[in-house]
Amino acid sequence: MSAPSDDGRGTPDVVFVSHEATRTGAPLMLLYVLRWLRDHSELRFEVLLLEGGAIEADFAAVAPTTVVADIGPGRLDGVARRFGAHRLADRLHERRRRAALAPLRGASLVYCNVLESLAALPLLDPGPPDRVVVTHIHEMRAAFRALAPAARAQLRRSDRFVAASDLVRELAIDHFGIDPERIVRHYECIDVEALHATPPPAEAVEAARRSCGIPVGAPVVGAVGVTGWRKGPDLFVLLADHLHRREATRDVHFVWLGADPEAPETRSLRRDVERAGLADVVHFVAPEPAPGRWFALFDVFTLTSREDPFPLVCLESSLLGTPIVCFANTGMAEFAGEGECGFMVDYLDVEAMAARVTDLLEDPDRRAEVGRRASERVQREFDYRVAAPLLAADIERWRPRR
Amino acid sequence: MTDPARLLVVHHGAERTAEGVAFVDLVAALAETGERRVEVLLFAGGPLVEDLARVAPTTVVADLPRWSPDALAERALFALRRPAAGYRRRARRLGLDRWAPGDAVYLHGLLGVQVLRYLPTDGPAVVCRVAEGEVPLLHSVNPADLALLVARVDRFLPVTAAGRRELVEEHGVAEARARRIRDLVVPVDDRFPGSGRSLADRRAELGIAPDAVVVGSFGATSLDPTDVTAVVWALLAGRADVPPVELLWAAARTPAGFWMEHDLHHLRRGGAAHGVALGEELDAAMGLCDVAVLLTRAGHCPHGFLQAAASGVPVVCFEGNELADVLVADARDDVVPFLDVGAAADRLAGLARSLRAGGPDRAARALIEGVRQRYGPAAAVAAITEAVAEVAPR
Repeated sequence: MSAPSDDGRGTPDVVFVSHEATRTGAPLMLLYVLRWLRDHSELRFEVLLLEGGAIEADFAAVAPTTVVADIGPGRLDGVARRFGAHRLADRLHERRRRAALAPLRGASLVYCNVLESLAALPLLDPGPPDRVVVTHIHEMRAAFRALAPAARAQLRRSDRFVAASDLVRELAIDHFGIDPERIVRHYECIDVEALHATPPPAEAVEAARRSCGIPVGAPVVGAVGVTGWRKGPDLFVLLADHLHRREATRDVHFVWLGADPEAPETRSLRRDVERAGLADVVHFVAPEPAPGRWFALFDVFTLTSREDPFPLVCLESSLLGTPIVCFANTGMAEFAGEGECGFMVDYLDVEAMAARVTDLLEDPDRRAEVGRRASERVQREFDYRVAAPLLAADIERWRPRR
Repeated sequence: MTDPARLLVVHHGAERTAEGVAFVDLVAALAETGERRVEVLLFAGGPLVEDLARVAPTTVVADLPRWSPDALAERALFALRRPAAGYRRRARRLGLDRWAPGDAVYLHGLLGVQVLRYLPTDGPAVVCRVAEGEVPLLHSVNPADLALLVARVDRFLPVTAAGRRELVEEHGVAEARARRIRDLVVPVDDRFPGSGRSLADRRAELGIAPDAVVVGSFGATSLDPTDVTAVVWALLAGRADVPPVELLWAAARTPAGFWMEHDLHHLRRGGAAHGVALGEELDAAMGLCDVAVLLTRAGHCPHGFLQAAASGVPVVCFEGNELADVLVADARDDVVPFLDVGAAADRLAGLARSLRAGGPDRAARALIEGVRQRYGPAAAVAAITEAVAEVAPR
């Protein structure tokens, strides 16, 4: 029998742990899956967030949600800290957090949604002896390298793994030493219906165009992401520079959406763009909560990431019928193929990427054809209504029977 | 006849690195001018101490007796929390208390900053070089010494524009007190610095084929120029009729090092090129290259690339880099427009082809001459002597 928690709800079957609730790929994908589970399964589950974020309320609307960072210090910890007894204060704070999470401890399955969320496992100890830990790997080498030691130490406790793409699965086996029998691939997914239901108004798209000074009719090459080096915004600038040197593509504009204007990388990129004489055609745009109008503005979507498991922004762009061009060493290459739903080029070959972009811009029929196939495939395979039941079936299969 | 005024040259140590060898050359050149009686103060020793001692009286702080009555008295003062008295005693032990306002102290880098703790405030004038890797200053100097540095140094000689900018804008140093000088460069010796192995042996150890053209670069502190360099290497692999090329990268353990390892991993996997990551053997890196790529956004030319150029290695760089000014007519093709990675790859391919066919000797000779004229010891001595004369007139 499940022990009742403080507010009377029973012990959950599954605790889903997310490192944060930002509007980024991994938390969004988890949110979609949880919505499906709420509506279509009997599973009792709760959400544990290490940090909050913009979609925290969305998680709370789906299931009881606890944010570890919000479990602040108590009076005793405060007193201890004031007297300089920091170690004691830390222990008292840890005890408070563990007490707050006690109702979750009986869960028979803990689902850690990214590697970083493995750090929550000690807070949920001791669990039932037959507890199963599942880790969803959305990361590649750079993120693994930056993984906090606390989370890294918990990796061996995971019984099952979910990889965000075949490339991630391959990497997990070769690089992280994970047993191939214990890891399955489930591609990321998006909410197709919601995106279809809220198309950006034409005026909003035009306003976006005007805000960058892009003339009507000028082709736009887009990219979306933070300006950290992993996402390759510098390669996007090299791509723009290469295209701009050619007569045929001199009027093309380049928009990078998601550039925090205060980030040092953004400032450095702006300096590059100015010095290269590209300031009129390369635009770094700050992140927006509803970025649909920008996606609608793009004629071609480029993914210049140095590594990326399977970014949702590519699915969102493809859903609109905008073909993607990416490097072959990203998970998105599995979707793009060689002209099926987009194009992939050798890693770092910005000339080849520029050639693909030029081909697509110069051939609207081909662009439309590739875009249509990409859109259909997203609706067919990457809507959470299609993808979540497959993942849910695996979760059900792995969950200990009681 | 009175004794000539003195110049104390301060450095952290005397390692057998390219920079260490350049330092010995500099001290010798300063002594040869005869303008001042040169003495050297090192904090740590090293294999080049004897070479230095041959050109000027040299004192090594680390070699001071540890158990003499003076040393024990000095330690007692620090233990009793009387650091000012402790430093005064240290100054006496080093003979620095006898240095007068007409004398001068030249710090060859920020690692020598601790000497300022011992110098009397009304003592000799101080000139301080700020080397390329010593910016930002706070990474090189603790806050207390930094405050002392800003207050006590009469003339800063930063080798980069970034260094000068930081001094003026962030530390309030008057513009007139910070004058940019050119870096000091010596050609890469055929002996791998510190190891006694020849560069040819080192190439063989790294598995570099004897007939391969080695295209090298390095980045010790940031992603710039890691990112652009990797792209150019990838493009180079796709150029027609390029002879076997080995890519060589040296980087300290930084994010740049991680991304370059990542990129080399992919370039190797794709069969596009082979790569050799040299870890922290930065000094040797340029000596192992046949061609170097300097695709940095910054305007200054890092020491290793100057060394390469001074040794006759062609360096492909972006317009706007200071090296572009040195690449005289014969090597002008090695300068490509900013961010034009395609042009850089084309130029590298051309250089690789011509090197295999006998090498661009004329350009290399012009390059050697240009770099040595601008960055050799004579230019450095002139800049230091001028600064010293201004702050410590005799």
